[in-house]
Amino acid sequence: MTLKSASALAAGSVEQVIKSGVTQLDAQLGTKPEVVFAFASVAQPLGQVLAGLRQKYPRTLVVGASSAGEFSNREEMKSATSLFALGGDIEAHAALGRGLKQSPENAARAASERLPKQVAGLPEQTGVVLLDPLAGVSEESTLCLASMLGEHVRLAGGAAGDDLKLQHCRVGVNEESHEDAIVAVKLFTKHPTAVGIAHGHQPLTQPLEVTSAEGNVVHTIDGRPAWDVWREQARDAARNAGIDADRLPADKEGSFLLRFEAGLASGSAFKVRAPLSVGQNGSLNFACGIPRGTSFRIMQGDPDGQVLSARRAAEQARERLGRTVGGALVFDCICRNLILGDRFVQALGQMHDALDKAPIGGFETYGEIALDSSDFSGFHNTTSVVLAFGKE
Amino acid sequence: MARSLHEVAALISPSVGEEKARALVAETAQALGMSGERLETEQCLQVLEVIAKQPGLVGISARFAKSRFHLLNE
Repeated sequence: MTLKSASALAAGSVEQVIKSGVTQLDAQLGTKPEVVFAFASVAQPLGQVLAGLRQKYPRTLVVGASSAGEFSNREEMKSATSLFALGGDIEAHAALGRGLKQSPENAARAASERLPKQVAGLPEQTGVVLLDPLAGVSEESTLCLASMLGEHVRLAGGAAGDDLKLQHCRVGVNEESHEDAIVAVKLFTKHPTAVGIAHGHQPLTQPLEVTSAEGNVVHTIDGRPAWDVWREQARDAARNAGIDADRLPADKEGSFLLRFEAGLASGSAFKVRAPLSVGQNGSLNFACGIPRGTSFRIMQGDPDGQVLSARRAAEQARERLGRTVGGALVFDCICRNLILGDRFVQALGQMHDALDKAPIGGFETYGEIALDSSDFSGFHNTTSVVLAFGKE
Repeated sequence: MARSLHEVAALISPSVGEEKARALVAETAQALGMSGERLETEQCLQVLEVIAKQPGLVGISARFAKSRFHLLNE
């Protein structure tokens, strides 16, 4: 037996998606899947997709997240569902923790304590994390979960989306799916997996300072309402991209903020943080805590940089794996799609090439998760995270 | 092994940014009566312990840094 991967992409009703997706997976896998990941547009409610998959695969672990764009191999769709299955030499376990906003520690503990510590004959452990970013504690949850799982568990994952509505993001396990929740998946394999990570953003502004904040809500920047400062600072760059920052309809504010995110200096690099929505009195709601006194720059990305960084993440995963890729899960920030438009599939193609043209499943996220034993932070934005499985 | 204040700050800067992390570590070390630019391992852990008591992301990132501090010496 070896580790096998399969991917599928399908659109239409939930029934059509399940029928087409399962047919595609079965044709590639040739064995019962141990775990199926489902990333579903709000057009296919996540709970229904997970339940439909469980009907087809009653003994398979099914996990998933709502998404903001779906892709498989070299193809991207909207209002669709992406599936990725693993079978053969692998054992998978998952659990869900609720009440993320109230207590990221308790939610992470509820998920992690139901996972086995080890599995005989499968010594390598990889954690896949899916969470609701609208709870505003994405970094907090990731660090708590990483502490609980231990430094020998490599983490990768993504923050759920909702087709850029920025209102309801769900994650689920088997028949259960919820907002304000986190899903922890533990994959036990014979051989190590590898994670690649890269972003293509550069600073747009001079340093700015958060002067008033509470949790994930930034009230003022340099003493002024945060949203006013954001629009003002990104106005010229937005105009170059064909966006009028002063006449943004409310339903476009989220995508504007996801194009121009915050960059926190950390060594020679920038850690990117996404403001997800405009709150009361011109405040901004982020996907994780932003403490008062935080210094940051507003960042921007150009299309060529986005294509390059996607490839770089895939190449890094391939290099770290050190052998032929058998399949990969990809968590890719929705901002890349917003910036690239029709060129998004070009970035996907480059990733697919760099990953030995193995099956890829993934979705466009509101945040990405990658944390190795030497890392001290796990939540990212504007980033591509590639979790590669070896062909064994 | 002695470490600079900046090295200690680098453990939490990926979560809160460099400037905020440096300010937190410098203020905490000063409040604990630690003078000088370098801290012994026990002092580093004391600084992180105090920061870890703060609410929200700051406290969580310091608790995480403390739990993996030993990796720096490997």
